[in-house]
Amino acid sequence: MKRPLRFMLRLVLAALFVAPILLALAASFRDNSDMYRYAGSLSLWTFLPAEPGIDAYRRAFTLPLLQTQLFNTVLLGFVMATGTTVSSLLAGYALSRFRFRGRQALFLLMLFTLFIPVDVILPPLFFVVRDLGLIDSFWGLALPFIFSPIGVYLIRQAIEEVPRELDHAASLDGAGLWEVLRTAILPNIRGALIACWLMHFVFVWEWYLWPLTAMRSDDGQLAQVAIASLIDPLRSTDYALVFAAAILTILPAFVVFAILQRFLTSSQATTGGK
Amino acid sequence: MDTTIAIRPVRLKPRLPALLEGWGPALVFLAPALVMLCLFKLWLIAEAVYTSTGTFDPGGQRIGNAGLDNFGFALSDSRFQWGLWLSLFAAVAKVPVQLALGLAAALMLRANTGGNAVVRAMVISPMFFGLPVTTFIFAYMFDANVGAVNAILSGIGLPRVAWLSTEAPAQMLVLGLSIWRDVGVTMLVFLAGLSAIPPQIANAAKLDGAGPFALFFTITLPLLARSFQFAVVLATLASFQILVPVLMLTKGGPTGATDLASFQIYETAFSYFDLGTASAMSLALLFGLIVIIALELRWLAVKWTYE
Repeated sequence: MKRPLRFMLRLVLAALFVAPILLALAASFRDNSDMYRYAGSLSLWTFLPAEPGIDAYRRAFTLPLLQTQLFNTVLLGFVMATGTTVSSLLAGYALSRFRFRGRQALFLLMLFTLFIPVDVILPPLFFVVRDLGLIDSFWGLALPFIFSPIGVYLIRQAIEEVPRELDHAASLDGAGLWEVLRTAILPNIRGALIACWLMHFVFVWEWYLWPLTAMRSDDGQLAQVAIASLIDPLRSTDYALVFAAAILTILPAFVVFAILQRFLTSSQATTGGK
Repeated sequence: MDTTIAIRPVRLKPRLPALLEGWGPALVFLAPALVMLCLFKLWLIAEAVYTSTGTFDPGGQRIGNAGLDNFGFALSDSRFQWGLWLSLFAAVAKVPVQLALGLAAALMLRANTGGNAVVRAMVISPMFFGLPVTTFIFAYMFDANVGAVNAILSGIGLPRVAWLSTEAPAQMLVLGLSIWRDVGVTMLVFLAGLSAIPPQIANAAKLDGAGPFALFFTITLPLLARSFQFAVVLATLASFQILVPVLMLTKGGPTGATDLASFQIYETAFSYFDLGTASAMSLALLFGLIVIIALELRWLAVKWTYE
């Protein structure tokens, strides 16, 4: 292939994925009269605000519960990320380093639960959480997903890569099981731990079905679910407000991701058999 | 196909023994994961089976046993049959398109250049916005009045489309959103598979005079078989998770065009409060999903390894 053609293909590919996102970003700086006047017919102002302004952001801040709901999303992110990472670390350690009957079967059973998507199993999940008395509560949202097959898989694989000589050396020096985990394993799987934490943190912004089902009070609702109720496909939606609120909602995820992503690869240097 | 590529390394040292034998102390470490696994996966299935055999009053109290009647009722209902067909159709439409696009993107971007890294990041960027926000974006782009897509269509002289209130466009919208979001995952799977192919194989084939097409069909594609299997299973699983845009935008319509089995399950449980039937429908759909994935794992099984 010729070079300009290759370049064009990459440009088209990139635009296909980024243009919709930029379009939404631009929409958040419009006001409604601008949008409903220009956006429906083709001109430069289909895509860009004719009179850019931050009015939509101002209105998003005055949405009565958005700040509480945004706090709920972020708090849930921290709880889910920390909970899944800790439970996956302990389980991954046991599954990699201990020998017990049914170990492989247990690991496979855990992976198998990946094939139970929440879309399919929503009603029974609701009944289980209702029986536990956790509907309309923060823990009712969080607990069902604290066990993560992907987390267990990721961390078990990372621990498998740590040379067994390291934990045996620690063990010969008299370290107990927790001490081995802390001194021999943990420092060598920092990258996987951060990847696991970050993945499950960002993953909370994917949530829609479960909070919609299990949280009926507006105070406890997640921001993205509350914003979705502003969209009414059959009437004229206030898209500027939707996107201003949505951008405020995903901002915390981006900030945390930007802070942590440079740790993702840095710990690899300390791994390896010495 | 049996392809062994390098000699298995000789193990010089005996394998070290495990730190610990037996269940007792292992349980301490496994406890958090095990408790959650039992409560929210195993009990979940047991609850689904138990609820599916009952009849309930609208308040959710069990008032009698129904045996397998709920399954009979759900499976003989022509609306649910249509929903199951639609779910199957979603998988059949999504998987090949997503695989083709993901593979094309991976092949195009496989070289590790700075420009490629940027384009790769852009292809996976929809994943960072979360399903609800990407659904908002599609709702806006395809809005009948102020959407950019209709603006472009009318700008180049084509008729505007009522995306959410016409049948085929509504289906395309839901599927297109799902594919757009997930192509990045498929691309990453294929990129990993491509980087695992030892370069000497391609070099040997080139020395033997293979052109780019022969190289692709006889070397690259067969050696991607394992990535292929993984990507197919992931895409199938994702094709059963397209309820969000349906719930948010189309509500199963227009005239049943997006009346997916999962949407009917949601409605049966939370609008009609028919818990027994909803659980039976959940189990039927879950069974269908697991059968499809088992078949895929079997048909696409790979018997060789690099060593």
